[in-house]
Amino acid sequence: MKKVKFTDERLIQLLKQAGATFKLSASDKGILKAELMDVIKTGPDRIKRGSRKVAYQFSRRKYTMPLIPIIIAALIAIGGGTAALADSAKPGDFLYPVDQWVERFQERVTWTDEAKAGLLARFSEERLQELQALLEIDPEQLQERARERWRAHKEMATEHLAESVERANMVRERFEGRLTGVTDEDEQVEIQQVIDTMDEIIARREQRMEEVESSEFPGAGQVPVRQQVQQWTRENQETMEQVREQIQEEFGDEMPGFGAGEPGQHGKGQSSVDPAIALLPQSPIQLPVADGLVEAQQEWQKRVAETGQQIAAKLAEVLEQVDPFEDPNRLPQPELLVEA
Amino acid sequence: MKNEELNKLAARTQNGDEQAFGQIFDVLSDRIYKFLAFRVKNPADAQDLTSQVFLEAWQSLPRYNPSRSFLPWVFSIARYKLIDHYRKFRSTVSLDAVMDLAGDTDIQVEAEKNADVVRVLQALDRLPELYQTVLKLKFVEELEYSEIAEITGKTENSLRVIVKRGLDKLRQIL
Repeated sequence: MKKVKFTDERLIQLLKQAGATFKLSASDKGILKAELMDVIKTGPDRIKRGSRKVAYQFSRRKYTMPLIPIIIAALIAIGGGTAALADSAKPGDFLYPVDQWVERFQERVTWTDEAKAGLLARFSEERLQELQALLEIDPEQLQERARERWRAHKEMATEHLAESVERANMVRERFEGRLTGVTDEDEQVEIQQVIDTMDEIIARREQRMEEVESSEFPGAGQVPVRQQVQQWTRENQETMEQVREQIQEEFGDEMPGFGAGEPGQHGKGQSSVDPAIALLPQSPIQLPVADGLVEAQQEWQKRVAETGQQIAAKLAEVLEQVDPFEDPNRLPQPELLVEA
Repeated sequence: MKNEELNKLAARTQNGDEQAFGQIFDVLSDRIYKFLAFRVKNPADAQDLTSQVFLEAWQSLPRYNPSRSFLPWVFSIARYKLIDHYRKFRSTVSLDAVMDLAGDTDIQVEAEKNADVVRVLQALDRLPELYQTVLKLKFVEELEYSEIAEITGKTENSLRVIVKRGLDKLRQIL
């Protein structure tokens, strides 16, 4: 079937045709007029200039009126739906900053220690899930996935903005309607301030909507946030493993937590495992290396090895200064390392 | 009837001249009805709203400023009535109601003749209220931008942007 092209001229013509279909018949018009004139003859109250009735009703809300645009703006800006959608966002997603903002907000408004602990535990779970989701993405599919997500977010953002503009317009029109019924100048000024504020909000959202609608997919150069995160994750794990191996190689069984025995068996019955070292992975994690990252990985490994050697040298230097009568399994305190 | 003549009738009505108001109704009722029916798609509701618009105009005319054009003033009332109506009955109005129009409007016959008209009406329903109003006033009522500006409170430049974007949005939906 041939697709009809709706040019501006064609759309205008169709609108005019549509308008022509809505006609008030002569009989209906006559009935309406007769009814209207009857009502008018019964003498309905006509609004007089300077009517105080409307003014009094409005003045009861005088003190709450200035807050209304602020509340409306906050509601539009926060929007429960956006926050809910943002909750599932991952690093690199359009709504991820919103997710982070909502979490910070929740943390601030949570007062009791128990509740805060529960909240932070949930956030930690979310971080782990985000990390897992990022690791599961095939780098080769990142571009297409990013494009799809970008398109979906663009549509969603446009839709949200259009809805917010419509809501703001509705509010504006209500106040504009009230303005026609108010004669008191002070009240007119107050209402006009609300209308002006709404105009600003509407203009900002319309401008933002135009920007969103006209935006193009940023392309390969600006998308690899997830690739970057993946790389950082691998580097972090590799670094920890390298450092651990370097320390173990330098000190062998002298270092608690790395000897033949189980962690916690050193130090004459007391737990001598440094919590920081205990967090190091106990076995290397094998992860695929994306194309183009091999050289970067090798360079990073070289740097990690150098860093490990430097740390080992510092450790040896500090250990030499330890009192020989002290427990040989005693670890140098972290602050000594910092000072050194 | 020219706007100047309408303004004179309005000035007479301000002072309680019922006959002048009857003439205003004769001149404007078709246009107001069309403006309302375009959105509510139900002849009975559109007629009811038309009555309400003119009754409110009669009651509010003492407040009307004769130095301003009367036509946009009446359309402003119609627009607020429409917004109020939709606020109350939003969930009860269906897009498909356009196909249910019957009686004197002959919309069904017209719609069958030209399905594109129905498509445009349905697409128009999906636009924000302001866009619908501006497109209707501009292309159906053929009002000037200056008159639409008085009704909507927007600047003429802003209205030109809205018209362009409204047509673009219609095209996207279609």
